[in-house]
Amino acid sequence: MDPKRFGFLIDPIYDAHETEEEHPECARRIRAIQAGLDSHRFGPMFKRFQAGSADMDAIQLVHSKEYIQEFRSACQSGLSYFHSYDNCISEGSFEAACHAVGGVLGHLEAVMAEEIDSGFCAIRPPGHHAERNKAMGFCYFNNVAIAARYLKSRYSVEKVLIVDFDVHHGNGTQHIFEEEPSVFYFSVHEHPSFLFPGTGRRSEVGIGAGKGFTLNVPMPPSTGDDRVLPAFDYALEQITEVFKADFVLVSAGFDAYEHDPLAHLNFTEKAYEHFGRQIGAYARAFSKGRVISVLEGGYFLPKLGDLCMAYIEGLVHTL
Amino acid sequence: MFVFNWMTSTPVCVNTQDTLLKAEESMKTHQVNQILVQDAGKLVGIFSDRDLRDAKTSLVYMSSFQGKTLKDLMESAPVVSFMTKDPITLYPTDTLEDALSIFNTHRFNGLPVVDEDARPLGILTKTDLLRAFEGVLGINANTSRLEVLVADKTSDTIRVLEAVKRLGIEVVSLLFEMVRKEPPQLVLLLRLATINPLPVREALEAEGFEILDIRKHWLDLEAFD
Repeated sequence: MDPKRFGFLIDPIYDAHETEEEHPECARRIRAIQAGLDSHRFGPMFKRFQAGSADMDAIQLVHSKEYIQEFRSACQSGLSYFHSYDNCISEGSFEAACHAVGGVLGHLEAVMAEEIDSGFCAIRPPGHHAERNKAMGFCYFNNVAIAARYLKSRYSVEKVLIVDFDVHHGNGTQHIFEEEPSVFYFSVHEHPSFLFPGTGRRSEVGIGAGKGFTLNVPMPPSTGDDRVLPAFDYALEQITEVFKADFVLVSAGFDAYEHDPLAHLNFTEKAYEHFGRQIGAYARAFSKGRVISVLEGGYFLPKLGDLCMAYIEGLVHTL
Repeated sequence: MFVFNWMTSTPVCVNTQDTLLKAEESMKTHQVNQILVQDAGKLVGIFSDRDLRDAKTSLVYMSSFQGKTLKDLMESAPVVSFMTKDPITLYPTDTLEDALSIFNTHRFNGLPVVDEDARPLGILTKTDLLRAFEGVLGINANTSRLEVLVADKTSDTIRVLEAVKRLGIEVVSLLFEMVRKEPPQLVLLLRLATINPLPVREALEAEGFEILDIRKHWLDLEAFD
């Protein structure tokens, strides 16, 4: 595809979500991605976006009014964490989180208005652990889940595929959609016996009408490219047989990288480029090339920008 | 860890005068594999899907020379003839360890829970027990796992927990595994309510503890296969 048809959202507003020193989910992550973007040959070609704030109605597509208010109050009253010590907050965290959602929704609108075909949102805080009414694992609002609901309610998109390759299972996203056959949740992650959040076993396949529309592919510690790539391809083939999505959303986490401090998998840049290619090929075949990828984890800062760009390069090549 | 917290209350019961057919219908309706048999409100036996299968096998054999259908025979056969009489029972105040020990030594899939007058209060199945231990071990809690090599259960565990406490992180579960007998080598498996176990890891390493390298450990296991 033409890189000019690819959107890239990056915005200094996310610095407003300040976390304590040495916290892995820090503002420097976005700067690492900025550096990767600036040094890549595609960098100058992408259409750049900044984030607007999401309105409360959009956030309420997933989270309750009371939960949103509780989070806002916690930030305003100067508390240092929300729901768990993991979830550091500062005064600006609520605003940053609203802009994370807003940034993603703005990107969806740009795709639906055909300004771009696909794009990447370098947002924080991340979202896939956030449950309807519970912050968890550095996540407050479930950006991708809200995006899926928004596509369905605002644009009447029928079927959405969510691909999640963050090293941690996206418990929040799975739980939000596990009873729905119109949103397919596919996650590849480190096996839950060894890593937070302890969910995402192969036996979790959806509930009721949603049975068969959740696919978890847990990988044992030390899994590298040689094993994950065939597993990822096979899973995507299986999905292709039962689910042809109108839109693809990606929870793009880069913490399965071999030197990431929080997990025990051994992926290299090659794996992320491969994910990009495969997701791109699926989207081109079924979803008119519409893929929005949203940053989740990824904590090895010296390589984070390169990993993002490897993934995007894979996507752009195939779309 | 008491039986009353984990048993299935309001057990499905039939009476001694009930037939095999009635017992089968009860099991189907309530989707259970064991039912309790009572006489004047007191437990006298337990009837399982295994008992039902054995009973049917005998009745099919009888039906071949009595000129009756299996259903006819099941309508007249009393459940008491096929139940397990005077089963081992639990009191609600027995512990899960008691139940585990019984399940380990007998081939039961469920144990009746009764009061002091032998009135049925519930049933504890193997599934209930597994569910209980799944909860106690924190398997599905949102945790990170850390395996610390320790030489001494008490003093080393105190040092480990003090380090965790200083960091304000919640311990969800804790258990020991003997990984080697001679010389003794224990692993303390901690489940911590955090996505980020790094500060704990660093603190424990600074105290001289060795944390199992899960990457390397897994590769060693695979080499062993």
